[in-house]
Amino acid sequence: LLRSQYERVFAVCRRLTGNDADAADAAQESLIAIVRGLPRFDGRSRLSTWVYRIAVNASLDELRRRRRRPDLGLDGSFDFGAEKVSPGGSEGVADRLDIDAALLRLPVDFRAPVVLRDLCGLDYAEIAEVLDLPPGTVRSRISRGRAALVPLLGGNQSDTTLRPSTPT
Amino acid sequence: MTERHPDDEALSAVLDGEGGDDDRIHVDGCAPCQARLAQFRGVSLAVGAAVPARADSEISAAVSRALAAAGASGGSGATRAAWAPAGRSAGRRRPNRTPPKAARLAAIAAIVVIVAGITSVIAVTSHHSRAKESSAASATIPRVAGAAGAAASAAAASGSTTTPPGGGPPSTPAPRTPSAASPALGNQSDPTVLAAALRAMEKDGSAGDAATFLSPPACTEPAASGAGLDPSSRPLLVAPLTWKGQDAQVLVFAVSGPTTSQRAVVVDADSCAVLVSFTL
Repeated sequence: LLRSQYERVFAVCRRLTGNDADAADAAQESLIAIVRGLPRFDGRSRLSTWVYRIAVNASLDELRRRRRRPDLGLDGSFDFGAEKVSPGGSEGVADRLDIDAALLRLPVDFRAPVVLRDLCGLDYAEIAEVLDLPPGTVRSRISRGRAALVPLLGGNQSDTTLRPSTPT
Repeated sequence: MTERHPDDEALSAVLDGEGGDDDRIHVDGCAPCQARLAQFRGVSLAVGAAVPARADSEISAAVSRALAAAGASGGSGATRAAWAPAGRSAGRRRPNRTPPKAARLAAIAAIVVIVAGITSVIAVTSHHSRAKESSAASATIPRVAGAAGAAASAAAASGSTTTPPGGGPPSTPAPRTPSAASPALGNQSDPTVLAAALRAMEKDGSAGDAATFLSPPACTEPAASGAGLDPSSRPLLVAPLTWKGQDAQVLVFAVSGPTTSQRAVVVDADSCAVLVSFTL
């Protein structure tokens, strides 16, 4: 069971922590928590959902402990600064570095739902369960997280000039 | 088609298959919205790109360490809820988590030492006069504690674990001696890392898991003095560790003042010399 869960746990931890070393530590703690918690797993949620929740919490714990990336404010104003990551190429390493750097610029409250959706394929209800958030909040954070990632990954920040919010 | 462009949240939901029918219909016939949707799709694909697979050996090692660590902590009964990961430890890498076999051997060794200690105490007490029997019995506690403490220290130094023996509660509050968590402290050399480990130990509750009848450790007084506290202060927690390669103990004291804080003191296990102290 642990072996089968490790890859998905590590993947989540990798995206949330942004580097292999922290991800390995978080994944390790996740496995320990899984072993300890399995006897009390009541099956009310899917095993994968439960495992993801553990992985996210372990990653957040790791981030707090390392204090490498203080979270930005959650008032909706993303401060990405002038350091724009280079537009993504198509090769693996360059892409990974870019996406990792971009994700780390997101407040973790936005990063986690985006990762759970786009990496893990969870639907909004499942993400809400994992993160203990209302589904509406999940939907909003995924949207805002993606919108913030667009310019970081080389796209235009907004298409508002093309998509005026006035009736067409 | 709706008359108004869907906002980003609605478009993002459309991408995820969770949008409304009106929004989907609108996007189908709206080039600007399709362009925005394509941007979101690009982000989604980038985030969802596969994370490189880990080596089998790494996975096996991680699984083994998890099983050993969870087993050493006494199973699930003493841990927190599964969704609140516990058992944080200090080191950046934790390659020295005890293999199960070593843990079992260390536990057996600890039991042998404890039995030997009890036997010697019985021999000593029987040698004394009957009139002093009650006082000799009370002296049993520190002697047994010494044996148990030695076993715990030996187990910690070897990276293994022991389960503290059961026993009656102390007549006065004893310092918590987290034998299950002590191996996680491992070999330390950085006060910051050790502070994080101690905080994690407190946070996950492992420091309180071990029932103990240990008397105050011999190094309490010099440690308290080293921390600038009253030498009669009692530690909140005592745990063995290896500090820069030498056997040591860390003692945590409560510091009263305008704001309550805690101070950790690392002392040499043999001489009780203060190696380092810092505020948590």
